[in-house]
Amino acid sequence: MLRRLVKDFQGDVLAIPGRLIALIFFLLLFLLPLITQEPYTLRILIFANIFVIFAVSWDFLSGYTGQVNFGHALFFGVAAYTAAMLNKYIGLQPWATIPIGAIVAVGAGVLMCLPALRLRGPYLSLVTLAFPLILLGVVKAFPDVTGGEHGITGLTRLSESRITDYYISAVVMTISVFIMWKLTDARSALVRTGIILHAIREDEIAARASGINTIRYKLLAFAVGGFFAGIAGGLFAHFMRIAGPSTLDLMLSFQAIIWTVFGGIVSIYGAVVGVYFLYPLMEFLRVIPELRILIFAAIVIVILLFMPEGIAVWIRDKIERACPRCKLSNVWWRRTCRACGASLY
Amino acid sequence: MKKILFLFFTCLLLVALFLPACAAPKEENVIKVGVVGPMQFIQGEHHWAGATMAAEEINDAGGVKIGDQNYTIQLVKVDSDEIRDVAGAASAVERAITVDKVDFLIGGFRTEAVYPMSDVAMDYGKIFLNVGAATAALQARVAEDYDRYKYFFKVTPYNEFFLVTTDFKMLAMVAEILKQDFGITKPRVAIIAEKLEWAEAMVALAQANLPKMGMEVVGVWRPSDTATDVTAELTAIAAKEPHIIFTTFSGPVGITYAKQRGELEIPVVSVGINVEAQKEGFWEATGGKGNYEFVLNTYAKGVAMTDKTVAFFDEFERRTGEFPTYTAATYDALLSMKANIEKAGTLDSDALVPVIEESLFSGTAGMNKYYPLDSPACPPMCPHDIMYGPGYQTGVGTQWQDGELKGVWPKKEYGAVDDFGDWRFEYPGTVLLKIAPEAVEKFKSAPPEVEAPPEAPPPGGLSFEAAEYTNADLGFSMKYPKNWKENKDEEKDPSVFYAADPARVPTIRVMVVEAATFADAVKAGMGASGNSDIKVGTEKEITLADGATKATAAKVNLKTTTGHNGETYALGVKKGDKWIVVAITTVALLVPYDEAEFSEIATTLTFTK
Amino acid sequence: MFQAFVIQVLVTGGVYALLAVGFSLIFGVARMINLAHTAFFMLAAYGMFFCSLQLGLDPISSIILSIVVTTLIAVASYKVFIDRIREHQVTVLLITIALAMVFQELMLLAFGAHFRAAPTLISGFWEIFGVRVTYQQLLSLGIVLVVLICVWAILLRTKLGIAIRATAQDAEIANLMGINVSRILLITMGIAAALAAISGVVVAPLWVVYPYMWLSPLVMVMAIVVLGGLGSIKGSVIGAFIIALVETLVVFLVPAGAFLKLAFALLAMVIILVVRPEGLFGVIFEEERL
Repeated sequence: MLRRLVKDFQGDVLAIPGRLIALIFFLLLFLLPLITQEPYTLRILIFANIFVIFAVSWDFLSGYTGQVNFGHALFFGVAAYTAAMLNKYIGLQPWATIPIGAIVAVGAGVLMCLPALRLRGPYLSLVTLAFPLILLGVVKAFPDVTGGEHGITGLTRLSESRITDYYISAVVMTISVFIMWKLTDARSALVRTGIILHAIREDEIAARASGINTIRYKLLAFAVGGFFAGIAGGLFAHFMRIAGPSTLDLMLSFQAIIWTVFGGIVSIYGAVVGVYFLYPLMEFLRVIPELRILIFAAIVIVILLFMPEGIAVWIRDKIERACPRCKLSNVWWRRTCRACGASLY
Repeated sequence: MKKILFLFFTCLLLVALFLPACAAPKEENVIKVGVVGPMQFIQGEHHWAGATMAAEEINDAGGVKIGDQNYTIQLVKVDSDEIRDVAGAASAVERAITVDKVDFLIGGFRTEAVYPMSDVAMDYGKIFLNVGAATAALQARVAEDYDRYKYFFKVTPYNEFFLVTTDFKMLAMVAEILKQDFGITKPRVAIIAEKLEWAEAMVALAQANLPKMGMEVVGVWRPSDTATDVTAELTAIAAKEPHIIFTTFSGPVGITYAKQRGELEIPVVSVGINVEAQKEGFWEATGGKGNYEFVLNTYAKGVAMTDKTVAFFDEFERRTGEFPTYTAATYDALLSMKANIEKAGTLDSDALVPVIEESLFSGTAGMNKYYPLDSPACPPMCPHDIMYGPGYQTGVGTQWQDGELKGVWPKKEYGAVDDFGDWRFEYPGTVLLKIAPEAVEKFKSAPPEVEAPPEAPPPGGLSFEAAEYTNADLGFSMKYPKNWKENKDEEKDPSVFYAADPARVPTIRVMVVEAATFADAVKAGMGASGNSDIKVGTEKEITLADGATKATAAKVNLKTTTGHNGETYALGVKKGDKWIVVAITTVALLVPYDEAEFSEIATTLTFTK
Repeated sequence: MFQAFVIQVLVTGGVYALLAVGFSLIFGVARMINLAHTAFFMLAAYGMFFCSLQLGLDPISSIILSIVVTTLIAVASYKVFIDRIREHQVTVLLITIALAMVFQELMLLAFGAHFRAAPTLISGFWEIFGVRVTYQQLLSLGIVLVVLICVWAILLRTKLGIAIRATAQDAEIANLMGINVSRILLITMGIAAALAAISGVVVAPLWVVYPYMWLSPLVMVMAIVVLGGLGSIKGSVIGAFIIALVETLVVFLVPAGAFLKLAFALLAMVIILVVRPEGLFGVIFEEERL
């Protein structure tokens, strides 16, 4: 049994550079506090973790179904406000408010899905864009409950110390990313969703013709995407101790797209790379505040110009080579496939 | 081509990444001050410019003296970028504290960002002087959790309750001018306010108060703070023919409004708050259409609020080419901190807090003093918030007059005395308010308003819709405005009846007190419900509305249970050994004292046996 | 009150229509959601401000200069940044956001975050039925008409127009018919940017000029274009007036809720799309298997 696991590990993780890198990354993530406990560094990484969940959920919803969502901040904001209200007015603790907030975000996702199901392409994008902005109007209209532009303040902390905050965010992030990765894994024998979502994205009509209830899967995508974006929103509210209108901002929705497409859409890990590259970069650029956003935008443009599929996908294509016969991934220096021995050229 | 482009951008990136890698180690005898603000926006620029002026001044004069050591001030620019990114703002502050190791922080602007930014500062026990976010709720945290938030002070601006109080004073001046020059006795006012939280209280108070100040509210418009077009609102307002537009703006909509109002030549006096109109660039941004815009401000050119104001204003304008706006008060913040540090003899936050709390500093916009911890009424008077009133911070009303921003308020002849002090004064350098020619023309051409004949008294002879309270035991009854709500909790011996306006004041209290004189009865009765410092004014003999019963009446001043200064109209009738006292109380800060209205209510007291 | 309402709807609708036509055109032809569209509007507004107030040029030459320079910038950025990755739709979308951010930051660096104003061409107002309308607003209405007629004439009466319409219908077939699709797209981009620039110089004097001024009209323009049916210019014009109608209704009926006008406009868009998923005059995407 153990030997079997070790063997699987050797074959499925160590032999594929992409997965090896992912493994090292997550190990480093959990060991980092041994190296530095500087609160500022940890804060940046906590934000990165939260936004990874947010960006990956966008990739899950939009990348995999081809439904480009311009209003992903809706889920983030709905969950942040729900968590904040439950905490502030009823006194629930973060362990309860964050999941409830995420469930409410699922509700928002399903509601948003109702008109969205009838729409395709740019029409869908534009309708999704409208929702957070409409909600922003509602937030402003009831300042007694929502605090207007000040937001709901003075929430309970995520935990008492920064290190614990960090581990909470890292664990939640790892689990969320893993679940979403599994759900989209087209080769998985356990869950079928991956391959079906791929099918819908490639050709919805063909998928429907093959007897797939595409509506059900689109609903699922909205619900799962909404749930994880909601988790991110709840974490954000409790970490910042405030839920304000900035959580529904148009720019936040755009950020999710920027992070994901930069890293590589339809890949899950692309979003992780995108956030972990761009968020700390943005922080680092604080030393030249005047040029910060300019440099940020310029980097995004330049990288995408040369790697239109995204930076992570570009790197993966360089270091991995799929076997033309058995589709197994191989390290780039191998000339023949590690399983079937077919030539990789 | 592709390769070259790639190389070029890579080089650019590398330079950008390694440029800042050379951070300086902490030097000896240096006080590091974090100046927090959105540095690419005018608010942050002024934070920085004000602080730079103060730092240079301090360092040129030998620095800060702690014990026998001289320290120099070193400013750290903390670009919070808070207008665009609230999460990043808190990170920037944490970076300043943990990486740059600043000793204390000054600045802040957007309330939603000041919450998390100040939270970070409190986590590290660093003093944070808020120079920019008005909201009283920020300061209320000091009262709620003193141990955590004691390091948080507000230098400027005074909070929204004081802002609206000042607005009313400016409005009263305009109303007085309209009355004197054009015979307009009951000016019509359109309220236009951006839809933001800070404006909520102001709009509600304006709607409640303006009618009491003899003005008529024709409507309330609430555009978005970033609206690019308010012609629809202006067309709707113009159709109501108001004399005054009362503005509450902090966003760019203020420019849009002023520009379009000027372009359409809407004949009104525009008065209130319009943050954009405080800035030098306003004239150009409105293409001169913002002429005659009358707005509350912190500084005005040539207006000396203290002996420091004019020198500061001119030097600031020389350096930046702009008028200082309220965030430039980082200048005061830093100079006052110098005095406080020297007095405390340490940089330790915990030792500094009591010194700051006690401090009295003559700044550029008036005396800087903070409300004490035992401040009775929060809000508006929250601990560590800046003190408001003549002698402290008053603000200055400014008006754009043909390209120049002139100080026009306070004016001696239009001032009055209130809770905060005596407003019958003016700062040197103020001029007279001007009214736009199109408005003058309109006001003159309109048929002079005849003082409306006193309205035929409605059935029952009352000017308000009445509800009735009857006391069967003692055989009397009285009427009070129908929308006032009775509150049984307050009806404890000797009070037999209590009701209050939805706006909390005025209140009516009916008491039955055993006492020898009217004054004693009032003192005993009002004292029993928690009021203090009760001073009964001159007593008058009057007749009740029934035309027969004689009663005693007087104006009473007192401190309410909430710590506000209350004004009461009290009326008493002696029945046997008991006084039946009716007291109508208001807090001038919220609703002004109106003797005619209050006596009308009180004299409805009638006896059935 | 009623006249005021009608006139207000007409004037606002005209301004919105001007903004929306260009966006509609580039979408219809290149199938590209150009999020940088209103950034060109912003650039032209700044150009107008810079030329007339800082360089002191006369209004006419400022206008021409702003429009030409903005169009050139747009064409150049299309050529350099977008043309080569045209196939990757989401990446194009992202690059247009990033471009808009670059323009915004450049303006921020050059002119600061101050609120500026472009000078009005004709100052003053005209009173129609007791309602005051500024000349600038009337001018923008007039220009909308002229621009629409020109666009229609180009599309229906010229060879270029035929090529553009052919590309819009099916780029691959158009290519097979000997039309240089890449060049047509470039020209269309130029026309669309010029329209954005025209609206910039005409509308900017009514509004406030600042680096973030592109964001809120962007939402409005997208709502209008989607509402009217993507790619349909007629739809965009009608959509503009519908949105203007909704906004003005909100301001006149609930003055205390005037801030909700954007929310209601978007709600109207959502409702119309739920009823008609392809917009008022749009093509049905179900047919297109990309």
